[in-house]
Amino acid sequence: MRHPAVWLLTCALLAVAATARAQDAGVDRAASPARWEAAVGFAWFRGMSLGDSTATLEQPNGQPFTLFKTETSMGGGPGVALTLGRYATPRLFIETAFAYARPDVSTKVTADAEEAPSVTSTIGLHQYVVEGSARWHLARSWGRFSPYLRAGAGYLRQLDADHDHVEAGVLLHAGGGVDRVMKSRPGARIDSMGLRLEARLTGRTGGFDVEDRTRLGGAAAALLFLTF
Amino acid sequence: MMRRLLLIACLVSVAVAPAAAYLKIGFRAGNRLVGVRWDQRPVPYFITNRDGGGLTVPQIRGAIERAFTTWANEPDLDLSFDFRGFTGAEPFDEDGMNTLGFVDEPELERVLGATGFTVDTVTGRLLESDIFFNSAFDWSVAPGGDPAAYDLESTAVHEIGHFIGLGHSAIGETQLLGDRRRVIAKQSVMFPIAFPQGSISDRVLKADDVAGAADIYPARDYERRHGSATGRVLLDGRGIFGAHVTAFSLETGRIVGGFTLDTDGRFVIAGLVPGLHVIRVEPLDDGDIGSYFDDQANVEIGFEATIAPSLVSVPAGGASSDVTINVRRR
Repeated sequence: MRHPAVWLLTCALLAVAATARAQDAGVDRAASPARWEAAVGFAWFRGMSLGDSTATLEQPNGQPFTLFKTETSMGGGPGVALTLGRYATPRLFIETAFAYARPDVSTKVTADAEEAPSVTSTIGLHQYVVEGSARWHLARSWGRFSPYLRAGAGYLRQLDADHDHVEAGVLLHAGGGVDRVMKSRPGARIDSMGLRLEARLTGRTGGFDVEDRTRLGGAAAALLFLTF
Repeated sequence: MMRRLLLIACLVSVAVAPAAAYLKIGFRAGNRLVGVRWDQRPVPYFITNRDGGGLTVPQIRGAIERAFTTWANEPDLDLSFDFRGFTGAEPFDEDGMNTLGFVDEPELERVLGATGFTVDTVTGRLLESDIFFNSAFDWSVAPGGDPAAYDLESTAVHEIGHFIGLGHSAIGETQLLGDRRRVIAKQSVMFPIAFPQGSISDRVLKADDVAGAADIYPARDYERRHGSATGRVLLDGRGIFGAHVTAFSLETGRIVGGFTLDTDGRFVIAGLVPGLHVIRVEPLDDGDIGSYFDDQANVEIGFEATIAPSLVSVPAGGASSDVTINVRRR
């Protein structure tokens, strides 16, 4: 199974975009002295199916006999994200991000052969994501909003609530967002501060999953960023 | 002074070694409960030099050797066997030899085979184990099975499971037809009721069989690569004895079973692949309780099949956190 952490990471990545400040302020990014950016914020990740499975016995003719069926999913929910990065060029930003979330994995058990009541069994997870990504700030802006595109990859680590078992995975993501500079003081220690809104799509392999398939998911994030 | 005791696996199964919730064949030596376990490798065996059940001696040997090989080739087990030759001795002769062969027992009209043990009840040492196959039935060694005969290799795999110390598994569903039970489906060679004539399903070990045997004969690193699910089963707030508990791996589909083996309702299911599991509890009502427990009177069967409200995360080389399952009286 896999997931939430991925979304969080994405959010973190978003935060890095210091470049947006320059665009929002109508400042030529290349002329800005700020090269570093840190961001912190919240993300909301979308839940996803983790696959179906059926507990089967074998009949005398070799055909399967259904003992019960399961549908497993990971719930959506909030998380936190931190990012740190640096402009490689006036429009290209490279960043690393860390995200953490506490999603639940739920398995709905139905069709029991002995009519056990259908039930949804759950377990909580700790999810950590570390990722790297590149953000490309577009030349045009929308009023005070500076748009960008991003893509990257990350490492997913999921532990059950009691840290009994660990699953690891890989994430790929792509998305975009906008930066809105709230305050700008060129030349000061903190060059600018702003708000970042971002959405992303994520492909995940590994992590807790019933079928070991690549899963697609999505996330949205809001982060406060500082450039310096 | 040495005292000897013959245990018949199909008739006497005692729950011992509560480290895991599999039923193992055991006996009392002094004040100790001792589980059947072979210390030497390879474990030697002989085959009675007599045709039986419509099969020739070479056919019998071939099927029995394949059955032993099935267990010996299981990579999760530390087991090996050695055919030492044919013998004129009969199964259950007290001669110090592990002997397998056909015996005509028409009065045992529901018994395809049985495994017996001779043990030293003072030291707890296992002295001998024999397996008999009932020649009152028609048998087959056809590669694809014979719809009019029982498959010797399949039955031998089951009896060799007893030979190495396993009791019966309860991973199966049955239907009561008159005074007989018909097995609808199962997922363990060690289920006490055989599939009908023609089936060769039990030539292949299932996850539950391997997990049970690995609790006695684990291969190197087995315990590091597998884990356990632990918990309690409560009825009206009190632990119950003899509840059948299964762990279903969501990722692999493997089902491994066990039982609550004390009056606190505690269970341990070992030999699980790491990952998330669904835990299911059901009463032991798909077979004769006597084929599982000596202490039949205390086995609780008056409750409904129940799925645990929590998924269980099984770690490699360790045990999960306890899960508590409250079952309802029926």
